[in-house]
Amino acid sequence: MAELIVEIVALDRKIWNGTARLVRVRTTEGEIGIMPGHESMAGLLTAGEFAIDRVEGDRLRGTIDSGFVSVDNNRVTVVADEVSLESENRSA
Amino acid sequence: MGAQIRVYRQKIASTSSMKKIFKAMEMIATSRINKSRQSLEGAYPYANALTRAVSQIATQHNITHPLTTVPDEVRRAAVVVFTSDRGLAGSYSSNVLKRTEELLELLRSQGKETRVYLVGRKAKAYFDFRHRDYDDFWTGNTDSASTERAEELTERLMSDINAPYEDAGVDEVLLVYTQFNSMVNQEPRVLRLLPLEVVDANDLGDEVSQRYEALEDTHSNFEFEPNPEELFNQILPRYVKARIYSALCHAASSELASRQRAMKAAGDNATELIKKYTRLMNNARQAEITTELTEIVSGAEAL
Repeated sequence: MAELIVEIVALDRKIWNGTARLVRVRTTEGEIGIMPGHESMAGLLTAGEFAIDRVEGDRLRGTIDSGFVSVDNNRVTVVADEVSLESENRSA
Repeated sequence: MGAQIRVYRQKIASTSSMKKIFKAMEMIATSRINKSRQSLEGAYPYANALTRAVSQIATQHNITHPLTTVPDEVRRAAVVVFTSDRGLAGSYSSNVLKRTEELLELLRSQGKETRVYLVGRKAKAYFDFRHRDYDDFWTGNTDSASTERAEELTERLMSDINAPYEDAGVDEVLLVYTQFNSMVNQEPRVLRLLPLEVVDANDLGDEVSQRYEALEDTHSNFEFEPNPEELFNQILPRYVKARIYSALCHAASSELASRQRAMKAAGDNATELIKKYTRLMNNARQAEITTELTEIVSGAEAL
């Protein structure tokens, strides 16, 4: 099955990257779930939670202050201004 | 004769105390440079993600945004100069300032007005000493890039570029900073930050574009939330911030690398000098002993 290649970045560091089955984020239009094969998009994020169902490992949760997300060819990039991860296990 | 030995001894003492300072500065620079290089690496993913997004939006929709269109006539340019706070870094700051002078001269010859922003005490001292005008300055902590400073600079530059010409607004923003190529190679360069040039994301050459297939040029169904214009408005300032932060990182790493190199050279020279003076001192001492001996012998003979 196809997987999403996810990358979460902040201004001064890469927060997390790895593969996932589902990425859930809150955009200005509402919450969206991105699964493999999702059409290309770019969206603004508002303050809220995000969740990533990792291919290996459990769900990764956290909160984002603001930023944007772009999806292209099963590649998801989350660019965040302020981000905090709930679980401290950041390894991919 | 005794006076000569004393002079050499003083010179050796002062040189070895300087050598201690050089050693200490070199060690500090060495210990900080790794951290600085890490933050330089850390700045890439964000900048690349934004570059990619901007390029995607720009190729999808032919949006003309004030920040991406070159104005017909550039009447005033903002120049941001990145130097260090402290000296003892070889020609690091003076190279940047030299580059700045050339740039300012060029802008003046093109009939453009300038607004100058200085980062680092060295740049401020340079402009103050020559009674030159500048519009604002930031000093302190030039050897570690901070997101706060990037934020402040972005805010200032964005308000400048958005302001109309009559209100001291600028049409162009240029950065003069030192690009960190490697530990032994840093070069001062001028980067036009605004108006932005939209780069093709596939030319980035970073990890992502190497690992994954090239972006397709045409996505008929590229979706934007809320709409491309709003998205562009939100993304571009972030892009600017990323570029400024990256310049700060480059400048900090270059400063530390220059300092390390300069201090290494200074330390080596000090060692050489100490060796030379020690030899001269020994020479003088022996000459003194010889003279004394001769005096005693000839004195005894005279009796």
